Amino acid sequence: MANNTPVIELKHVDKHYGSLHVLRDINLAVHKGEVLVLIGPSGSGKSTLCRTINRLETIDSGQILIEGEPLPQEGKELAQMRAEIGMVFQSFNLFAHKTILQNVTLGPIEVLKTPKDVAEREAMELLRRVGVAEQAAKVPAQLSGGQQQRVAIARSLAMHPKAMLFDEPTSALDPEMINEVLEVMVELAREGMTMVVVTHEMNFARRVSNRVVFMADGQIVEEGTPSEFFDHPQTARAKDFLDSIRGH
Amino acid sequence: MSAHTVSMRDALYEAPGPKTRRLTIVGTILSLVLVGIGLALVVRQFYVSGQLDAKYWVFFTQLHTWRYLFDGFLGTIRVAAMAGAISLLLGVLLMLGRISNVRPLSAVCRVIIDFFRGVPSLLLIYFFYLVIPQYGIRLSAFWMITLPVALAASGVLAEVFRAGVNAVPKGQTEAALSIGLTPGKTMVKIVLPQALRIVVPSLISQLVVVVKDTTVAYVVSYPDLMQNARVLITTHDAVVSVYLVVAVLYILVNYAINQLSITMARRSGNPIVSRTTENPT
Repeated sequence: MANNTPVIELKHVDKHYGSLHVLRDINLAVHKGEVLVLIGPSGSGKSTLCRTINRLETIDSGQILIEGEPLPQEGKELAQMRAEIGMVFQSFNLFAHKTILQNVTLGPIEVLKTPKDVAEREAMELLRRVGVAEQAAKVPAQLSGGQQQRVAIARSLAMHPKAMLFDEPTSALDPEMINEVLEVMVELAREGMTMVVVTHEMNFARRVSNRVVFMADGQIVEEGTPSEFFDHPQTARAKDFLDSIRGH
Repeated sequence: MSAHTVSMRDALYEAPGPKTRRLTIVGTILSLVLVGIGLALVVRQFYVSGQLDAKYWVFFTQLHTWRYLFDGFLGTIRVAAMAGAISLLLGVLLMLGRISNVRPLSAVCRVIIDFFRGVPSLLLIYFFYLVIPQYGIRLSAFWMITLPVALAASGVLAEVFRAGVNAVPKGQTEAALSIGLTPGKTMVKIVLPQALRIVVPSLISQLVVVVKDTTVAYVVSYPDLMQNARVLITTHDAVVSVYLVVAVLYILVNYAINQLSITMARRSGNPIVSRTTENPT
């Protein structure tokens, strides 16, 4: 966290969907090795915020900087930048017509121009790491949700990203599969990966994150360390939210 | 039916009870009887009107009749294959133009697609046959039938492909972009291969239309199956028998296209067992 230039920085970011103001003056910096968790009620803009960082969502005004450089708008530069930031989606989005192995090797071969045999060796190593190596020859639809999401993480890791974005990675999973994905993420955090995680998994947030950012109505309402936020929330909005999820 | 395959019928209807099963049996017998009666009537009518006379059929025992039909058959295959190939390629290109972000290109492609889709292929054939030669462009009979048929089909195919591209879940594109593929590569490597597989059924019907469109080749005197059949009809004064045989040949060709497309779709990669990835935010 010592490094001065943040890996990801957002300055005064605004975005509208028509008349809906989905992101309001967002200022945020994520430093190297930091695990930042974005939480908040649905519709608060946390997923949108996460997706603006690799320009899957555009912004209306403000600035997004990656290692101090403005986020490219298009072309090779944008593709290049996206290659350096991993993204894991709620619905996995594995390439349905490719095998598990091909899903992981596609990026390295097509983008990094890694020779096929090297890419495959690395991919198998990653698949082993996330515990799905024996599924390498199958297609995504033959795997469970938890396995697919772990493959999706391996696919991102194969690009040797500087940072990874997780957009509700466990929200589409059956309860018994959530932990196998979270474990992989915990492991990544321990290894020092810079991570932005949109999640509803409060235990994960408390255990792994360095900082919790609470959003509501497109704004950052509160941020702090997990213990600050979970044990002593400052705002009424955050208290309500925490009460509602602890509720019963 | 094996344990893990669900037929379309199973998916659409509930399993029949005893009453329905009895009704089904009655219905089956009744319809078989009706079909039988219908066929008998047709054959009887042929017999009465003399269509079954030996003179209408005996020339089918001669080798050169078949050789002549076979030549026509090859002509049909040649035109259909070339027109099919051109229309597939042109269809993909038109579709890519149509969905491009470049407004003028998209507009032009849209007009071209709508034009070829809207104009009857016979009119296009007349255009190539009667209008184009006036401008000093000399095309062989082969191209005068192949090009208009291909153009007419390409418009429809472009729309078929577009439907396929739209049916590929958005998450596939987002995932491809997020690992650093350019939009172009995303289209070629991720979207198109999946889109193609989605549209195989529509593709088959359109290629069958191409084969059927080639039957107007007589307009430009290209010796396809239909043209040669017409010659046989005049030579032997036998309409019904020749048309019956030719109809069977056309059905065989289209059946072959059907089988070929299915095999190709199966071979073109890994099976997509289900498509469940729509992207909710």
